[in-house]
Amino acid sequence: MNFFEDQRLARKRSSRLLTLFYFVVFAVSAICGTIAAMYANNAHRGRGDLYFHSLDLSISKSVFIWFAAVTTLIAALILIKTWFEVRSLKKDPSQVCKSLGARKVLHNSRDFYEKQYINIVEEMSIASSVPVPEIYVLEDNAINAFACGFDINSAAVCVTSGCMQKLTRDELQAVVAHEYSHIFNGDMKLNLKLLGMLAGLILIFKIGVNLMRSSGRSSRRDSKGGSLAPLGLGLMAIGGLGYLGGIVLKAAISRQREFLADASSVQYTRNPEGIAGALKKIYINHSQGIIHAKNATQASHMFLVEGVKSFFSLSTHPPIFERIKAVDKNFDEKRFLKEDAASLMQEMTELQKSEKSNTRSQDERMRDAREKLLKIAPLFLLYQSQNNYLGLVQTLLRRGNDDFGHLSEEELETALEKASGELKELPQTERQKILQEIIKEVNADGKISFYEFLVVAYLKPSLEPVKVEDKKLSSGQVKDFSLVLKSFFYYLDDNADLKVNFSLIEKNKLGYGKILSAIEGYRFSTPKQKELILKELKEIATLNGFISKKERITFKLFCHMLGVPGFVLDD
Amino acid sequence: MSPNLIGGIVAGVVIIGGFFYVVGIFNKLVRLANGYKNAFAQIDVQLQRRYELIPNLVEVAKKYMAHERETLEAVIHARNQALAAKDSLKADPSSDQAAKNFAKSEGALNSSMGGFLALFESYPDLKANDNMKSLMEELTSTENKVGFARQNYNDSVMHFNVGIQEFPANIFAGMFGHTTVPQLEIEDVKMRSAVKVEF
Repeated sequence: MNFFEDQRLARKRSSRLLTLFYFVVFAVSAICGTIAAMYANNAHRGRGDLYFHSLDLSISKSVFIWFAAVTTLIAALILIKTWFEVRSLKKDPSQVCKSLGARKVLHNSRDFYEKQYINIVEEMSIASSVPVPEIYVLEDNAINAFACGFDINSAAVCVTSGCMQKLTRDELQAVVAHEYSHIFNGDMKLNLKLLGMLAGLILIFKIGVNLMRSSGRSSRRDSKGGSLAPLGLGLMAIGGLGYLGGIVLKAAISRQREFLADASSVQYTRNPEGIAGALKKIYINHSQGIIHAKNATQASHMFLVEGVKSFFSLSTHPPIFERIKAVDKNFDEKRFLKEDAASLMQEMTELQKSEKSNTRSQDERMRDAREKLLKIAPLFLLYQSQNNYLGLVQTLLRRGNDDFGHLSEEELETALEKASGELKELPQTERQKILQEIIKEVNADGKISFYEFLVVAYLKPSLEPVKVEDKKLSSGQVKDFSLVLKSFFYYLDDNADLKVNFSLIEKNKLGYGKILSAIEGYRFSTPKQKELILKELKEIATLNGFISKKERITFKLFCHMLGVPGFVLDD
Repeated sequence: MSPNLIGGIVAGVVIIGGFFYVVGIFNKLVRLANGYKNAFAQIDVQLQRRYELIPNLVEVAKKYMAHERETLEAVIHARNQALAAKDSLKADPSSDQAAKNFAKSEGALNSSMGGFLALFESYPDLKANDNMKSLMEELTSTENKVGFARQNYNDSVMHFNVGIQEFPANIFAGMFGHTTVPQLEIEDVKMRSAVKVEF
């Protein structure tokens, strides 16, 4: 096959279809404009209907203005709707993967087959000059894969565990290459744009529906208002037809993009047998080709093969045999079904049975067990058994604040301490990535809770090592910082009516950012100043007669951050 | 408007348009040239990785293959030569001679690696060694990466060469100092698949 030529063809076809799509949007606007112009013309002639009457030349200018204005208005409406829709649908690639239940493959994974998968991804990165995306695995028996992300610098690829089990190295490589093409060619962005424009077209339809309804209501009240009904009907018809046309075009475009991705897969791997083999296996595996993960419908366009079955939808993917024929001109459907299918089936079961699957299935068994355990055992024990405290902290952040409260204070402390240790061992780039993820998670709901603050404060020093002797604090700074910290401690427990001997900062003026910079600032103070502040904090903590869990853990955190680990808060 | 004025405007538009067109061509050629230079850097990175991996592999193998000292030494020797050839090519990527030298020493390394791997097949203990297994996966992957980097380089060189030979860019290409760049070739067709790792 001549893959460069095939790519050119697929690109040409899909850009033609895209032009057609734009034309549909324009046509819908222009038809609305025409109706408006006809209204204006007929109204001038004293008729409130929508029949064709010859244009009144004396007002042709104003009729034209009506046409232009309404056309622009409708087009603008559709585009604005598109913009908002794209904005709301645009999700972080890691979020998409997680919402499908995919698991991130760690760069330092010790699993041989995960390592292989990582290697394959890196290979394809080189072949396509696309930066290495985030790598995910979805536990699913189907052979499928998807890519997401809106530019080549923030993208993710995900394959199912079925892919890893049933495909050979070359086939897996071809599948990954196919997904890389989607990243490289910006298919996710394209798809989002099309979805947005479809939403714009359906908006016109909805406006029509509302006009019909309101005119129906008002005509009951006064008989003159009925003139809006035909307008509503017109908008409904135009919007609806435009929408249907849009759906058909969108499906056709995404089918072309699949052909493009298959041809690019061959370009990157220079091995047409890879993608052909993967597609054949997918065909055989067909009954299992459907992804069962929840939320999969939203993401249907992204999959390697049609990932989701739904009633009444146009195929977003070309039939598999057509795709195989595109990469392998000698492919013969009948012979394949008669002879090769059985041997491929055999190969798949053998691959699954081989050493490969032994380690995998053991892994899977572990994961099953984990799922079950998750339901009965506390999270902490689970992650403790795997020595993955960073994972625990991230899971807890994801789950919200209450789960943190369920940990005992020793558990919380161990988790944070070990997680910070785990972080220190990672390479700098990985560390930055994780920090960003954590900060994203923390900011997810727009506010910062006590536990979220705790996590950030605990992990930050291990992410950004600072030389303590670099700076010196002025006495004014020390005073400011100590006030912030003391006030923070004061509010940890409900001390509202207790008197203190320092000028308390009001609660709403005390942000977590301020507290964090205060404690970070204190790292540069002298040992004496550190000792003093810790003593003072201890006093505040014991003000109301007991030391709460929050106080104890915060105190520990401060000691940790100041590098004075010996201090313990005792009753 | 007088015809002179209209003529002047048209001429001005044509000149400005032509200027931007040439700027566009210039930028496109710079982009293509950077593309292939960057692609070469990738090959360099991956080759380096392979040159570093090979001694590790030999080190692990030594314990099991004490009697095969010659083969192992040949591998190391070929590796050192390839490393040197690569460095001289890196210094001057457009030199035909350096490119040929490099292809030759790479071919030699591949064939000595082939010999090593053939021997490797007859040591089941070594094959079963976990350490060796992951080293072998690394080697497979690195070999692939070298191949893909080379392929990407050749693709970028092809796009660059087509870019400077196309009309009208060919008029300006010489002026901007671009000449066609040779593609990387492997000396012997057999050597293309010389290093094959199988389990």
